[in-house]
Amino acid sequence: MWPFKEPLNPYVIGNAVGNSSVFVGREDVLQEVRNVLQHQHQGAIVLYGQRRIGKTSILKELEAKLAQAGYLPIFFDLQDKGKFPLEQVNQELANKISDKLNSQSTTLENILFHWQSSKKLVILFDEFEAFAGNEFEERQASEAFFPYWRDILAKVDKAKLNFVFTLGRKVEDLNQKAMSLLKAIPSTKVSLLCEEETRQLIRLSDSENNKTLKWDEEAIKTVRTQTGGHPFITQILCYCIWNQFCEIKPHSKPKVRVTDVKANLTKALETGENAFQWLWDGLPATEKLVTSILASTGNKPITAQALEQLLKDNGLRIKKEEQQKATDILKDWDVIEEHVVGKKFRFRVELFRHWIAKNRQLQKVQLELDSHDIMAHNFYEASRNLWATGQLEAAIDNLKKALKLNPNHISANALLTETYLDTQNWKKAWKTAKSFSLMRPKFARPLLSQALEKLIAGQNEDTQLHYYEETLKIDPEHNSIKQQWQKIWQQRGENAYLIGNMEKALEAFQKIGSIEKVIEIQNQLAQEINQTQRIIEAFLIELVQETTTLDGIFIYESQGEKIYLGTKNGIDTIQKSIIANSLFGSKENQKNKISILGLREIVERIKDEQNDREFECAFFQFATSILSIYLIPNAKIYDDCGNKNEEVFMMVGIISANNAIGIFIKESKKAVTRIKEKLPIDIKSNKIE
Amino acid sequence: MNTEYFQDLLNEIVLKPNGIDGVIVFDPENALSLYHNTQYDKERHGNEILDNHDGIAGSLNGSHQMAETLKVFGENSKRGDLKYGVFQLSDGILVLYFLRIHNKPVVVAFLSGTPQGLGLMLNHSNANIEKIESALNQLLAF
Repeated sequence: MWPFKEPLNPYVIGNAVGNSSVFVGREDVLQEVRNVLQHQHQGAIVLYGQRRIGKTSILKELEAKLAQAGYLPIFFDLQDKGKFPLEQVNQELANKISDKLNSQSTTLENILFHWQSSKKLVILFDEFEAFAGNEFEERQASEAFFPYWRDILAKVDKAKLNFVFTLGRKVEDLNQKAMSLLKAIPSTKVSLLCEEETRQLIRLSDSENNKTLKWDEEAIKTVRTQTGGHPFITQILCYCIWNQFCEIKPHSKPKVRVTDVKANLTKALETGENAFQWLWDGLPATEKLVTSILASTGNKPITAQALEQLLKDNGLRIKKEEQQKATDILKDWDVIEEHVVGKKFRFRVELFRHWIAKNRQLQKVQLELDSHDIMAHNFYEASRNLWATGQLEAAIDNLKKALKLNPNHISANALLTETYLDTQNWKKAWKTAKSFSLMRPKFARPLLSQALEKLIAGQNEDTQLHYYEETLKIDPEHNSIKQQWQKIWQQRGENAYLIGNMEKALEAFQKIGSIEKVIEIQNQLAQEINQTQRIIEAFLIELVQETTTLDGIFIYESQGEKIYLGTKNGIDTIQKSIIANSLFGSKENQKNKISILGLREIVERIKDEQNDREFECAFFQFATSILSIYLIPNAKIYDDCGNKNEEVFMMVGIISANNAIGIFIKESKKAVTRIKEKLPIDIKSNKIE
Repeated sequence: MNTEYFQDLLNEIVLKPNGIDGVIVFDPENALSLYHNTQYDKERHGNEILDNHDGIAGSLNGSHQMAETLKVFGENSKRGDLKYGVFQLSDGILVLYFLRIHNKPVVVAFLSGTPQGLGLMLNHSNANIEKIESALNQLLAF
């Protein structure tokens, strides 16, 4: 038979449970507090942890336990007092202490600095960060509140007075003023309950005080899997399970099985709606986006790389450091955990994940973030009405104000782009869409296309290319824009090819990554290599092949800015292209001395500044190769009439994959001597003298 | 790590019979020497090259840009990282290490006042560069 006239649900989902038989575990935290109170010179401790984790319950438990141990504990809740003047808060606290002492009301300073009682006073401040809010009144109040308490903490006699503070965030996350008070105080984290504590909590309905249910072992495990040991969420789920069985006052003691736990999950989500909402509201913006994405992937752990890809796939551009910071914060707040093996993230409280996946899909979160800055959102709302009634200029005005206050307001960005499009202000529409794209490329894409299409309509091809390229810099994965850009270059490449302008054709096809065309043209160009090139390169190949260690020799000549290369394997166009691009680069690079030609100037300076000291050669050791560079500043070549009278600058580079530097130096010097002997090189009439 | 200790380290290097007659650490962007040895081996070679620290730093102004070019070449041609550069002069040798210390280019130059003895010099400069780099990381931290 049911043992009670009115069966009582032992699970509490409204109030703090300290100082009652329902309070379980937390021995580690209570011990930390005891240690501080017994310490001669430490007068305070901070208990921090996420919302609804049980901090107030701990303070309530401390209030009861400390009183039994001969202290005088005063529980003082600061919630909703953040906007009060300091004097008012202090007086309320003073009154509370006086009431407890049954003495006449006096000032707080009087109490704190003239403490006569033999009992040690312990003030238990709940929600201490109420004064660290961002609203104007809170900021003003914190200006006075934190310095005041810092002063008190420094001056009071710690043998008579102690403090315990609870915080809903870490000390480092508070504002400067609050941090200056709390940073020197030891702190301890109030986290999820351990396995044994969770079991104890679940079995409140099968304990000495309440024998209303029996629990199957697997059912207990399932509750823990779903709640991760979050005390409040565990109570919600168990509360629902208990109601399912006991509201009907069964005749025998029912046994809870896994199926019962699972059957109550939806009910728990509904019952805990406010609590989940409260937990959610405690998360910062980026963390909300990351949490929403993580929740949508189910309960399988995922790696940081997979998370990064998911964010990208969902059109979110969050910097790597920002993502790292967000996952760190979420770990700190026990929302997610990182598996040591494989470094994968997963939710700690599965029920919370369910709630987010169901109620906080990404799009909803983005709209929610829009409405965070109330003033910005009001401007946006006003502009929507103006836009709907055709008052477009006024709408633009309001949207600009909204974005000034909250540049990340997604809807305002979108509407401003649309309004510019409506007013045919194509350039502004394009610019706004670009800024929008920087934040949410996926959402901005249709508007960006539309604005760009209008902006470039009727413009010449060069201008169109310019705008395509500017847009692709912002959103390189915008496929439709990329295709249009490629189409122009494709056409340009084909036209150049048809008229035989191979260099232009090559440039066009290289731009769009048309590999087949690039190879085709490069082969054609290789066949057309001029006679001079062949002769010089044949000589270089011969030189290289005569040696045992050299792999390649190149010559750069300044008049035609040409590079000749001979390698052990003959002509190597890929190597030549690497040398040309990496060592000599564009003309702009050469002008800015970001090329190997900068060596020439260094050598000149060495000569000038070091008493005509002569430079012989330079060599550079790489991990697997050596490159030596010789300069021939006055190599003679033939002029157009066949006269040997023009002097050019030549740079000779010798490469070897053999790291035997001694042999390399010897062979490279010999090769350079041979090149000098072959000079002057007749470039114009295709022969080597 | 303090400057004095670092100075001792540079002096210790040049006082050993290792072919290194001088060590200069300089900022190639501003062409100014940052540190150099202050003691010399009795039988040091090439007095003027060793005394003119700012002159050497000035001559090698912009050498870090050239090194960047070479690093790109090493990467593109799959020849690996640039380890060091050597300037062979008619009467001396410069062995240059192009470092980045706290994201700023810094060049460490080992000098020899004679054109011979590159092998010994490379051996010892390679053995000392890690110590120097680690010390610079501390000394040049802002």
